[in-house]
Amino acid sequence: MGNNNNDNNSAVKIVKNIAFRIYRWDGANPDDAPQMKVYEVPVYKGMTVLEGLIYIKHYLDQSISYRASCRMGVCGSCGMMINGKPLLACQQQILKLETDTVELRPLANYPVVKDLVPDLTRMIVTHQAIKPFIIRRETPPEEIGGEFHQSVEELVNYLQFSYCIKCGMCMSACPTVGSLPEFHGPQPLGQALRYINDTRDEGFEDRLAVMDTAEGIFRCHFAGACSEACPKGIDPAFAIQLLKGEIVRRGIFRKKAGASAALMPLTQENPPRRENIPTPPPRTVE
Amino acid sequence: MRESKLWFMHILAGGLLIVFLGFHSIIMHYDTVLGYLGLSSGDALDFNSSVLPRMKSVAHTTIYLILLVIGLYHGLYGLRSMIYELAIPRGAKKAAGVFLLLVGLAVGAWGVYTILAGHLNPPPELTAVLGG
Ligand code: SF4
Ligand code: FES
Repeated sequence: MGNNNNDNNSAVKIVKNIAFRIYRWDGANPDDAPQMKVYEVPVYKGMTVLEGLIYIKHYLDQSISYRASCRMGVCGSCGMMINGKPLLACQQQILKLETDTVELRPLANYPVVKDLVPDLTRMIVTHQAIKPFIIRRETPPEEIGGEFHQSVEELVNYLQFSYCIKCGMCMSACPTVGSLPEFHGPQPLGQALRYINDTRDEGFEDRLAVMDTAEGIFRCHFAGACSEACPKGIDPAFAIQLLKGEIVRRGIFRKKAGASAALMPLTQENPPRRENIPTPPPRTVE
Repeated sequence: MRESKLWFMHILAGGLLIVFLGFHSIIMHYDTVLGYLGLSSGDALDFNSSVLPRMKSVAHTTIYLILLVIGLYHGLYGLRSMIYELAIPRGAKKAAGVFLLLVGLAVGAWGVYTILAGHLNPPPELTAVLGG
């Protein structure tokens, strides 16, 4: 797209110019006061906020920083405050905002690296701490050597929560994350439930030890802002309430977890490969 | 004690408070409504006919002991939660928690003493000293 490309032969028709007011601050110069810079962006129908930012970076100001990758709501990189709400820039169409000014700020509740780039360390570290992987007590993963049996109903129990793209927008919407630095926040807690609800997993006690603290899961007030913000329909607020119930049932009333998923028996020692599956490339490391 | 247990007791106390505060409200503030239903034992604040019999009643004494314990626990745990959500040093939060525990124990002991004193050693009936 060219500068103000408004001619009739062009593939896109500019509907109007919109002012982007963008938060500018560089962590490399922490003493400089943050400022809001305004850029005029020609907007066509269907144009997303991310495309607006790409336009600005390309034609108006190459020093601006933002994070994006997939441009289709999958990688979770482009979360930012758009007109005061945490939204994915690649999914938010500019004209649908129905304002003449689009104000962009970095996600709330995180330190800023530069301009629209938040430092997501808090979420990533807490996510790691709740052990977001299948834990088996008896068999170490390298000895499993097969697939676990899981019914469709058992899959549905955690499927919704497994769609998390780690965009961090739930954390930026959560009032408790904003006021309590030690609170785990909706993203890690939602993922704790995702694994606890998985019949292949046996790591409830490990995760309980992380979550069951004075500043942990029970500081969630069910404000529900995280679920409003989540672009993938995870409903982390609901996940947290389910998790509280599970902690009470299993942690306090000692209700036994259902039997863990069993390994599916291999029908043959070396099942033949289907013909149309390409052979994997040779190993590059031993 | 694990936070989950403290939190669960807070929720449980909240549920019980609805029941026991309900009893309290109906007995103390809805005696007119109870009158319509033919259940009123007279003016709830009349010392000789209402207050004194309540003091002597085992059921009422038990209800008020339970109400005292669950009300104190629910309120003080709620206050502790609010303090824990402040961005203050962890040591200060812990100190506040211990302080609230001591306050709870002291106020609880005082409350239990007051309720039991009224039950075990009720005052004599009021005579019409004020005339009328
Ligand atoms: S739960 Fe939703 S909002 Fe939170 S990180 Fe995952 S996808 Fe993003
Ligand atoms: S760029 Fe990947 S989610 Fe927006």
